Amino acid sequence: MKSNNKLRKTWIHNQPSYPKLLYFLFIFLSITILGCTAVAPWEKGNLSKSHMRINPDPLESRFHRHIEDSREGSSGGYGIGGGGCGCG
Amino acid sequence: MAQKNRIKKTRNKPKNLNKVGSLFAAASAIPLLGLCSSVCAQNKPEPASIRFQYAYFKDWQAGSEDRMTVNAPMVLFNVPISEKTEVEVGFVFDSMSGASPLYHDTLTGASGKGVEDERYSADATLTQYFDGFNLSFGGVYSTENDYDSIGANLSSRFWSSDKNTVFLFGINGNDDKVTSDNNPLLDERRDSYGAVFGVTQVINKNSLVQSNFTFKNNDGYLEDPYKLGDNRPESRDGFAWLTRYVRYLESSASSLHLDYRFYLDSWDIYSHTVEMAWYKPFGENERWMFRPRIRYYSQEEAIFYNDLDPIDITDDRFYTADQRLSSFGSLGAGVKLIRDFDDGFSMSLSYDFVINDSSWTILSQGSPNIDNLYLSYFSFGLHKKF
Amino acid sequence: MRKVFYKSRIIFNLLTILSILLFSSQVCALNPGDNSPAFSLNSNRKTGEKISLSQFSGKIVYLDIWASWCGTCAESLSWMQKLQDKFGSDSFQVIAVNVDEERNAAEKILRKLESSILVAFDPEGITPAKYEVGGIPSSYLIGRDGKVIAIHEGIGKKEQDEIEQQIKKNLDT
Repeated sequence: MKSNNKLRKTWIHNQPSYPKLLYFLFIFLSITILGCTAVAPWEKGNLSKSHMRINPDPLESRFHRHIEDSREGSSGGYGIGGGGCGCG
Repeated sequence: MAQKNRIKKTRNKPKNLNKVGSLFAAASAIPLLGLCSSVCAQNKPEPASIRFQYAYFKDWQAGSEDRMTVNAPMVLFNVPISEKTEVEVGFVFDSMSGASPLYHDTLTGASGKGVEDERYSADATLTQYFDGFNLSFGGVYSTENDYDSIGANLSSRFWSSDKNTVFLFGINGNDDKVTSDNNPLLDERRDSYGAVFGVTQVINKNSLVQSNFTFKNNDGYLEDPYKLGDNRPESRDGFAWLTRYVRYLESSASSLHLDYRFYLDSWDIYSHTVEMAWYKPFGENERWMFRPRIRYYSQEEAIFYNDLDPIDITDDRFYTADQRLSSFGSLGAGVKLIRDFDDGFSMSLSYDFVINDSSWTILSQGSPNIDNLYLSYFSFGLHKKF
Repeated sequence: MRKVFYKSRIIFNLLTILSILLFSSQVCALNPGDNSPAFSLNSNRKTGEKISLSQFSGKIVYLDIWASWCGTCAESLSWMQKLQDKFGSDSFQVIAVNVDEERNAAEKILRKLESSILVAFDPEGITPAKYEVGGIPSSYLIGRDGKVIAIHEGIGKKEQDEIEQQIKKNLDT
């Protein structure tokens, strides 16, 4: 008879680092959004270089994630692609 | 008694993790403090491109002659089908052969069975661009001898008017069927659902940062059917927080990528991942690119991980001796070389080597009695932009 | 209780952030009918003299803001060469303002395309700032009176056809 109730109670809400994570999440997002001057579109030359993308080689990333997920106990975070920097 | 010691270790865990967890969370916030933000956003379909990759992977355990090898060709097409619509289609074929490594050296006998498996996977995503946001809908299907999976995902990106901030919202669901080469009677299902929330923010004209929060829930048959005595809970909830930072270095015309991921789940597995890569163009017209990378990973074992021999487990407690759920650290390093040719064509070659060692974890003592695992893989890639 | 408290705090934070984002959207201040901002920039003219918008008053001017790092800009440079050839230079002038910080990158592309259009160099980005450019490339069709007729961001096939029609219409009047 499997009882997984015990494990559900030990989940995230009881983890001591959980409130700290939320604080950092809030601070992080606030700082980024309330940031000061914006970079103008014509100043994005360096950001538009192909190696400046968050995910320059999607196939390589897929393969690496597949290996890591199959040999380790963690997964996720890489989301669905990344925010790119294109023209305009 | 081993079991008593294990419980004690679990009770002490929260204090250590509090310190280490907050240290890492603070470190990831540092690049943002006091910096202005501006972000690039891709707000229309990209030009068409085709990517092809052939990867060869091998892993083996110390003290064992047996190896697992995987050959994996894959291809990815990106095609704009109108000014505001694009389609992405991918195909993967994995061919796996060899002996499954001994994950626990107190297990004798049955392990070391030969494995021959082929996996086919296809995925497609349709993206429609609107004013200020886009919408993507995708599906994926994967099949192999003992595992079938079908999934769908829906996501949306919103960007600010100066395209300096991009928000990502996404949800996905998978329905899997698990069978077994060893046991023809096994026919189980597992479902998973997930959500992602991410922010990408340009900091200044030379750097940007992305942070993603992923939640997932797995329900159903979560055991590994090839592991003796494996008995896992029917549900698993996981949370991952990944922060990725990219910085252009003007002095060397190169870029530095830094990633940090924090993970925790309801099986009490915690992990920290740090990865760093450096992209350096060189040569005439900067047609060559050199990219070294290094990755460190540290994992805390699942609450029911147990290195007792499965024969000694006489009750129906949760149990696994699967090395993948043990406490260990992993250190990997790799290099990649890319060459650009005319007409948007480029070729790449990379090699990576990884060692998983249970004494390399920073979170707690590593799980005992596990031999090191070595992974070696190389890949060859082609890319054509139209 | 704690669960509910944390969940609602997350939702509140997200709503705050979204509303800040929505209210911070910028409105483009330059509109058709406005006077085109003046500029004086170095150019690729062999004489080495600077060019300014006032030199072309009385002509229809097509002003394009471009950069070497912009994927679609090379294609639109070829198209602008065709425009200049098609409409001549008696009553029509193309001015391509380049915003690269390093001039070499721009000159390399121009050499490769064997382009002879008039190019102005603005490495400090003064002109795009004056024109409130929202993306690269952006173009401004300017009338004989120096007023802005049309603004385009991104020059795809559809925009190219539209712009050609607008130039034709304004040259005929």
